[in-house]
Amino acid sequence: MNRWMLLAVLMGMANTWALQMSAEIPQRVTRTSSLVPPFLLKPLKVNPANIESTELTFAELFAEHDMASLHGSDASLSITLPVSARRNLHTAQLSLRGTLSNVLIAPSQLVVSVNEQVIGQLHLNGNASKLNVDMPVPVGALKPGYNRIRLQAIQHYGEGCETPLAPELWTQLDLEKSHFTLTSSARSTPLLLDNLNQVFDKTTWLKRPELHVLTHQAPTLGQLQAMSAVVQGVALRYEYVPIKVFTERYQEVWPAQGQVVLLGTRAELAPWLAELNVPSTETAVLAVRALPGDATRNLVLLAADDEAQLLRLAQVFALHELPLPNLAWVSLAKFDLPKLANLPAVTAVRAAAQTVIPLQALGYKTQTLRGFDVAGESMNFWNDRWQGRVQMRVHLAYAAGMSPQSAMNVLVNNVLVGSIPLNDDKVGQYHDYSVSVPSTALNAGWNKLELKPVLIPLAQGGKCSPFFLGNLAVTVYDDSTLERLGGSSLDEPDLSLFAHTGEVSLSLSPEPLTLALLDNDVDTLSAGLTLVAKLTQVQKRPLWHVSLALGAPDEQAGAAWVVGKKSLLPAAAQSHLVASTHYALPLPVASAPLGNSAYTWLSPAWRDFFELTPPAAQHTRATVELSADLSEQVFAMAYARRAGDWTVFSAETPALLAHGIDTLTGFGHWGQLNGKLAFWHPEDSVVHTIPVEVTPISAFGLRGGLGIFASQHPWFALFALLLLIAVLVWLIPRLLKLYRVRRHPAP
Amino acid sequence: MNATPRYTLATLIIMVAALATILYAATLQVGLKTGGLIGLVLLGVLFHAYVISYHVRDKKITLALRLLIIGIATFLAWRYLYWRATETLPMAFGFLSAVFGLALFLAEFYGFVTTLFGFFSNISPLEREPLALPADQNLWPHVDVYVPTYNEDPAILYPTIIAATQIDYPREKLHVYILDDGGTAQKCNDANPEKARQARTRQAELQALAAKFGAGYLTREKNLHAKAGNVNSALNFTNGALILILDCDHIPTQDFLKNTVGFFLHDPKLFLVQTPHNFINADPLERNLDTFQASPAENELFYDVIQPGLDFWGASFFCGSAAMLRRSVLDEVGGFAGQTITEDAETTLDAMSLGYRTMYFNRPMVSGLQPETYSGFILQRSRWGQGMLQIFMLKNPWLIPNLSLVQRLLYTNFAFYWGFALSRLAMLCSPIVFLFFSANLCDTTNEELMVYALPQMLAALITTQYFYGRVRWPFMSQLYETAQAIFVTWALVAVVRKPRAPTFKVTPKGEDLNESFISELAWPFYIFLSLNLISIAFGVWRYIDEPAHRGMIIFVEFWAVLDALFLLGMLGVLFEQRQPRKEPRVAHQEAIEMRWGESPQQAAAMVNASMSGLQILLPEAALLPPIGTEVQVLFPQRGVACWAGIRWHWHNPQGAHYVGLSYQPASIADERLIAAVAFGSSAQLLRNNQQRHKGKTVIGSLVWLIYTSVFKGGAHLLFIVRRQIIKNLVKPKLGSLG
Repeated sequence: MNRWMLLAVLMGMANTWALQMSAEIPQRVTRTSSLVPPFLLKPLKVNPANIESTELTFAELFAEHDMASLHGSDASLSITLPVSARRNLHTAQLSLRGTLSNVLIAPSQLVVSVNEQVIGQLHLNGNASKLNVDMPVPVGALKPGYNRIRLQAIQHYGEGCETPLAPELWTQLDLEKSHFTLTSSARSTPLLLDNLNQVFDKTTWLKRPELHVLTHQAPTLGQLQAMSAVVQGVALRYEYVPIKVFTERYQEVWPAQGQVVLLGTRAELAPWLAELNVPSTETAVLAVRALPGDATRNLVLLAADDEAQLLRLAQVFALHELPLPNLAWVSLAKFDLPKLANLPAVTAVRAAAQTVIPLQALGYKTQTLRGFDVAGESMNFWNDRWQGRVQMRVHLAYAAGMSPQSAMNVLVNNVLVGSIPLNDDKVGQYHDYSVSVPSTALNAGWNKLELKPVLIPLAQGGKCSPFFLGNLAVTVYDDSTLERLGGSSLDEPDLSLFAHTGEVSLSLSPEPLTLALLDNDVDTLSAGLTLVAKLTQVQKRPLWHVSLALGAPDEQAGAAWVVGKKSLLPAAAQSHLVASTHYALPLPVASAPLGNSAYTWLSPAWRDFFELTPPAAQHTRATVELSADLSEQVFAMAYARRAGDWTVFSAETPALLAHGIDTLTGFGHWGQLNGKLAFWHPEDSVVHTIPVEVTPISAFGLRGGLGIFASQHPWFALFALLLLIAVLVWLIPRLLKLYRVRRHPAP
Repeated sequence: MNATPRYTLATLIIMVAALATILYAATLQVGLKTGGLIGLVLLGVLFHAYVISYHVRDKKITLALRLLIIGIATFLAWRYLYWRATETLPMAFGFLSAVFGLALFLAEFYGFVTTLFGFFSNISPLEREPLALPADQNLWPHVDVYVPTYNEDPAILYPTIIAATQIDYPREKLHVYILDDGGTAQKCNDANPEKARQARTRQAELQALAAKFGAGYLTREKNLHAKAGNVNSALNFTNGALILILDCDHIPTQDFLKNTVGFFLHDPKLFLVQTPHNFINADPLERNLDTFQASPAENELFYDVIQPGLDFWGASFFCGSAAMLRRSVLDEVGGFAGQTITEDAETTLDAMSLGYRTMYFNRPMVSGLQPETYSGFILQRSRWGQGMLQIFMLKNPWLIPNLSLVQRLLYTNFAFYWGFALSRLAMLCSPIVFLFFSANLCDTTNEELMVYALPQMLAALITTQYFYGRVRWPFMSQLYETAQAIFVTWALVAVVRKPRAPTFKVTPKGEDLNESFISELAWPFYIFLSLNLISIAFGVWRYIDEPAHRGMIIFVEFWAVLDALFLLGMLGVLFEQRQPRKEPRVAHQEAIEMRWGESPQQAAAMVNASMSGLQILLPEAALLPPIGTEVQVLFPQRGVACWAGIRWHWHNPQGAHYVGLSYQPASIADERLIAAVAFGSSAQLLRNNQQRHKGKTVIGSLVWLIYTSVFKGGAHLLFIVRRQIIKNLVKPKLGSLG
């Protein structure tokens, strides 16, 4: 290359750089209010000490721990890999572990693609029988956000004609051992309010991101309200990732990890506001900046001179979908919330409260399920009826060209309750196909509904036969409905309902509810706000109907979430919990086997029918007093009261309570909440629960309770019935005699 | 029992509370296993109570068992109905399912209500004994015997008049009248000369009949208000304190008045004593299905079971004939009512509203005729149904004063009862709609059906057998309902549209059937049967094609097959069998003797008798007079004799000799004797009826139904085929042969 060419190249490069800078400088100035030209900024040098290695298993990404199998000649598996915009990705590696069918021959391959781009092809060699591959993933193929990783297995067992669905064509992936290994370093985000979703990034790899909410002094009630709103805003931005909330006093030492929110007056936050050139005339300011000393973390500031303004500012922050400007700060001019009565209930509550529920309310969205061996969809619905039944009306459409054997199976709690034939080989639609779910398939409480399509192509393949999978598809519309019919309603609050909806009572318009923090201990406040974060994520919207209170609510108080240590609970609530050294409460007690020696002449099927075989468990009310140290347990209780139900979270000490709430709101524990009372140790993975059937009459009302009682004691019920009939048989002749004497006197 | 009002009230309150608790308990939702257990155990108790009831004679225990059966059956029925109403209505499966599902439910609801009414009516049937008349006959009231007639053959009235004029009662106090509405001036002067001639001829015959036997003859100017008008007109010419109304074919026994007049003397507020209508010929079902004399008569259920129950509640009503009425009450209510075409029940309502009582005496004391043909049968039933509905619509029992609550309820039931026609139609249509159109009529699972429906169905079978098994074979009710469903529904619809439109139509009796023929009313049954068979075939295909629904398909297939049997049975009914005109015979056991020529008197036993002759049984070694021999028949118990001719002999395999004789009456006394022998004894009628009360098991009845339906229905279809062959193939060929 001669020097002219080199000069040309250099000039071109310079021009390019100049052009780029000419575009970037004004933007930088506008956005950051900084006059430092970018070319004067030091390039980021990555300190090796800041590089972190993260391992994400398929099990974590799938939220399932089973094996995943790829069957047939063409099967695929999709995984979503979140990559946070706050991380600089340096390397990524995909490690696959599993087992191969030992009949797979050379043309078999596993194609790995990232966001539709093929990044690798692995030979599947049956002789190896174990899948043990580490392959690099080009970092450039991964983008911030959710990345679709697809594993497509193309499997063969023979050189000539094959049966595409031959059972020996499989590859099994171990979800626990297969993983991504990612090295990355933290990156600072643009310090702009429209990037708050990156500040609180739901694509984080952290299992429990931390949020530190700081105030200069011990927070007043008004400030607590604002803190609650801030926590709600953060929780919504994290969407489903459970967060840990810490409330602290600002003491010029910033928390070591997590994002930070600082609330206070303008005077208290003046130094940071001045750095952002916020005029002093602005009274309520929301701002974001880098955390001093750590450019990769952020500090969100809420400054207002009175608590009412602070609360409004925080409520604006809680509106996570509100488009905030691409500025470092904004001041609030006006904010009006609609009246509580005008707000509809959250979808989850409506879904639990209404008799007719569209699938949309259960979180399902219209989608088309395609392909052979498609997994189907599942969702949970609330059934608060004893011996109720459910009528499902399905709106679906299916593709032409499928085999008449195709069907959409409807399962409830793993029981097949209906099968919708997709057997018209022209395109078909059902607008209102009814599937009845009998009471025997339903549980009182949460039930799992699954829509599992079985799509079979017309050309079903076979050796040397075509196997065209092209047009296997069925769409289930989200306006399909579930209708609950009959049965006796559950009258008492249930923790499982609370866990899924954030409410203990089902009202179609939100009713005012108090979050009562029994004291202002830092741990109690942290526990309460962590709970607020969780419940906000459950309800998927800010908790407009929740107001905070400090101290124990009085007996006339309405519905409330009560958080605090046990000794501060009202006496009536305390009596329902366990004491630290003994407990007396109704427990399910397994009855001693009755023995069926008296009925050996009956066949086992009949003995079973008449429940003469020992039942697995009988819900018998028993009072148990044990001498044991239960001071390490944390309790959740659904406490039914006439003035309004309480949901109580309590423990011996605030620190234990905070730890317990941390555990509870993490993955895996929250869904175990059930019944009237639950308790757990913060280090345990199991939550122990007392179900509502223990007190059937108060739980399901008189009719439901009597029905349950009769079901649990059928022979007693029969005896009572015959006794009543005997009373009639004894009484009626007397009345008939009186009538006869009056009407037909002897001549 | 000294029962204070407080005691009564307390007992009533406890009873209502217990009943309410039981009904509430039936609505509790329990697990399926518990529900199944309860159903099974209650069914067991019910069955045991039913079996024990056959061996118990003590009245208190009998009543207790009856109440136990009613209590359990009511619980199971209510439990079933509540479950049907709240859990199974198929409103989410499209228009067809919703409409027919609701129709089926309403039919079941109807069944439940009528069952309750039945339980209530039959809770304590009253069995009465006749009250003795005073020794002084001067205290006995005058009795007018009315025998209204319109267009019946005078031969039908013949034995009625004879028997009426020889009822055992002081001659001077017994006045028999023929009320001839066929001989009115209007009829005798009809514009059609032939009709006028026939009317005058008939009039002359009836006048001669009346004169011959000492009865009166009454007629009137115009035919206004049918039978009610006819009888009201007669009231102007008679004075008896009591009136016995007899249809022209209802031959009374000699003890009729002695068994009934006594009630009137003891109770001045008594308006009516009704007695059973007893029939000596077969109705079209009995005749064409060959069940006459084997099965109980169809009306026995009403007269032998229901009327005694109604009597307890003071709700017996006038049935148009075989009843005694107090003249003064008739005068008070203005004669027989004429707003509806069942003037009898209507008149009773009028009398009850004035505070008068009615009574039922359960002893058959008339021998009557039923319509022979299906069309006559339908005419009769349509009139009854229309009349009862008219009463409810035009004279609402809930608005009439002075009726007790029970009377209002039961009168409502009399109209409500006729809803069976629509209910049966719904039952016939439901399997077709389900099997052929795949409509979902009942949204349930097989297990729930087993738990709720099966115990109720079995309980219904048991209670039906308990209350009515003596007087009705299982499945007979369904057959009779099927026979009436279509045309009675049509008749009821006509009443609802125009309540005052229906007119009184005389039931044809004594029809002559010279040859077998297919009733002209058969066509709807062809349609139903065809649809039914097609749906059964479809059901088989669906069974193969829809494994998921097999349980329900099998259940409905069984139902459809049962309906097919009923419909085939109906074809058997509609195939009117040839019946040459003959006098109806009545079984009669009496010792007689026979004498002819120089032979010694031969003892014999009478088997049956009619107005024309008798059948006797001779011992094995008896001498047999040749056919054609004139013999003198002696009645030792009566001390009289008459002459008869031998018509036929028959020897059964056991060696007994049966001989048929035809009377040769020489005098009025002979005719009176003949009538008294055949129809004069109520004890004989009672024995005859009880002979038919043998009952049949459910299985036995099902076997009979299958056999009869297949053969009789098949004969109908074969007849059609043969007729068509003859019409289309044979006759043209014969014609072409010249």
